[in-house]
Amino acid sequence: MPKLYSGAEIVFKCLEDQNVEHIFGYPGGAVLPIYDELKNHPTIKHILVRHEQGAGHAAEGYARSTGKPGVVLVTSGPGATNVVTALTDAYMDSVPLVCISGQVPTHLIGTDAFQECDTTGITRPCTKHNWLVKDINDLPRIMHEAFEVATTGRPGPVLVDIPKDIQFAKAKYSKPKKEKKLNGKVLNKFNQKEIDQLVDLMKKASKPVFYTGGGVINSGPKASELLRELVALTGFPITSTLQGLGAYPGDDNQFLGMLGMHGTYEANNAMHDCDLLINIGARFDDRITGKIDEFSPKSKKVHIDIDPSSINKIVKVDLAIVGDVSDVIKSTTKTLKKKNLNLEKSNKQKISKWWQQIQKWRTKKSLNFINSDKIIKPQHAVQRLYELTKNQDTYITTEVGQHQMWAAQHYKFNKPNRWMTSGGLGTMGYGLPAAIGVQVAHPKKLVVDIAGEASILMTMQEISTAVQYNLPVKIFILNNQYMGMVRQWQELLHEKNYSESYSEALPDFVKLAEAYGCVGIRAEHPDELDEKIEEMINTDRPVIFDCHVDQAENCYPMIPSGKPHNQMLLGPKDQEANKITGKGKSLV
Amino acid sequence: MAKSKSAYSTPTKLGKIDTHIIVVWVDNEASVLSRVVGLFSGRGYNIESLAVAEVDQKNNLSRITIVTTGTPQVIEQIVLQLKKLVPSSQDHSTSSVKFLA
Repeated sequence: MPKLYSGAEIVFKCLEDQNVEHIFGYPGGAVLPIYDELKNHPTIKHILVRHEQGAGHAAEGYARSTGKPGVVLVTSGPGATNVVTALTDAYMDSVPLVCISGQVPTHLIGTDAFQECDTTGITRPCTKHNWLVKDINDLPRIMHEAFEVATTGRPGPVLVDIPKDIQFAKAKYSKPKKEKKLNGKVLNKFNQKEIDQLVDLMKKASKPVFYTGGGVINSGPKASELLRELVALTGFPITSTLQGLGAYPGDDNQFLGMLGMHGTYEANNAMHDCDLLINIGARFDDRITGKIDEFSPKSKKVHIDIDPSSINKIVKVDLAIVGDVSDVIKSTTKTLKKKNLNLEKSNKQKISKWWQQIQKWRTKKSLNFINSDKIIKPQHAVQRLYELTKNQDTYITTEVGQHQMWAAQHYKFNKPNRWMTSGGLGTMGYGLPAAIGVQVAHPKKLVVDIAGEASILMTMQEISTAVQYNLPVKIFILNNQYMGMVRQWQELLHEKNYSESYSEALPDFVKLAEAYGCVGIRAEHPDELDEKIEEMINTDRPVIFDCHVDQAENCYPMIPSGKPHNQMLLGPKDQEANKITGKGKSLV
Repeated sequence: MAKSKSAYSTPTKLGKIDTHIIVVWVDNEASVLSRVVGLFSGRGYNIESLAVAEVDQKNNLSRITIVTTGTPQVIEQIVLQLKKLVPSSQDHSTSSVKFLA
């Protein structure tokens, strides 16, 4: 007779077999048996958050900075509904999460019991897959399947809903099956013929550009190394999406900076004028493409992605290669080396004119801003933060808004997994809990959340979590007393009617920090900025840094809604000349 | 229907809209129909008609027959998205989603 385990024990045995070290969660009635079991499993450390959304984002930060799945444990009803934002965020940005939720006992399901909700129904559209465990004998299989689905193919969140009676019921436990299937499907479908086609296109191209995304990061650190090798080998320019930053060194000469709505002039113009566009692990998001009909009109397009449904979803491509980014790049580099030993030389000549054109675009210096010695410019604050932290291995998270774009533009990332931001869903309040997740995974590293004063208040309570676990996260608030991006759009589109975008009655962030038991620092003048940032870095406790910045600063360059890549606004002067009218006004 | 999902597209030329029949074989488990139907409503695809029944009791298989309309691009998306649903792909690989017409 094999040993029987309770459902709660099985949950932990599965977590142990999946090498889970940290879980983020919040207890409640329907998960009490699982919480009771926690004490018997010392290898698994539980981080108690202050709100379930925080648990979800913390697990996302953990996952994105380590490459391992993040694990969330919440109760039924409100516990589950609170985590929905984080699950949707993870779904949009392809972050592997395993969320375990408690549920009312099976016999009460459907009776509108206390703290009951249709968790699997609510989370169906925001997870890769979810399960309601109705039979204890299914639990071990489902748990292992959950990890497999979350981490294979295009990663994403999954949810396992476990009724309370199942947590008490007993069953046999079986270890996970060794061989990993990719969602039961073979996703590495690409063949040598496709690689040959790609190499052929690369050889013929005179205006090529690499456009890389979060898929490179998700493919693991090896993919970034391979990408660097490929880019060096070809001599092609490379631009990256918001999520792909760090896969290629941000200060390298072949890197054109980020592309898209707030990307650089050179990156967007290169996208528009190129004759070969190689998309590696990105998804032609609307922030990237601008007006679809005029998106990169003269180019042959290649799309490398692990998810077949990403191909031809928005932009029709000439060559699709479905596979893991690492594998595809490796094959491409191998083929390039084998077939074209003198590629580097011949290519350099062929694309030298293209590089000249790019240099011309670069002279526009589209990220420039007019600095001030009286008031701190937000871009300047990010630049100083970068200069003062670049010599150590720094992890950056952000909230959502102007500060996020300034961080992406002015902070240069050199390694993958160092940049955690909510791109797809654009969740304000993401950065602080994500920073906590990152710090849990990397206790000795510097973790900074570049934040806005509006975003940070959405999940402010999590600073309490940071204090509880001695997680010295640094909250760097670019405080302009406005929901800056909302204000910017109201300026551009709604005749400066700043409807409800002014943050009245803001807390005193320094006193707030002290109330939470951490350190508050305020900077109001450019002269004191460096010194205060140093103070923040050297403080071995959580810090809330209240950086008062110019209230009127707008985020440029910008592709206005409904416009193609080559019609960017470079600054306030352009804005007057290019009023957004008609259809552009209705777009987000 | 020809509208792309992108907020930026103001399409100048509409693709040709055709009617197709798509057959999906799924593991007959709780909520599987809602997964399929939710995919259609969530992504703004059409369902003109829908028929569902268990066809293989031994292997616990159901067959979902859907009549839908859309441009070739939309139809391609529907099929690819359906293939990503986990219960429609277990054990029967890619043959679980099939075009009839």
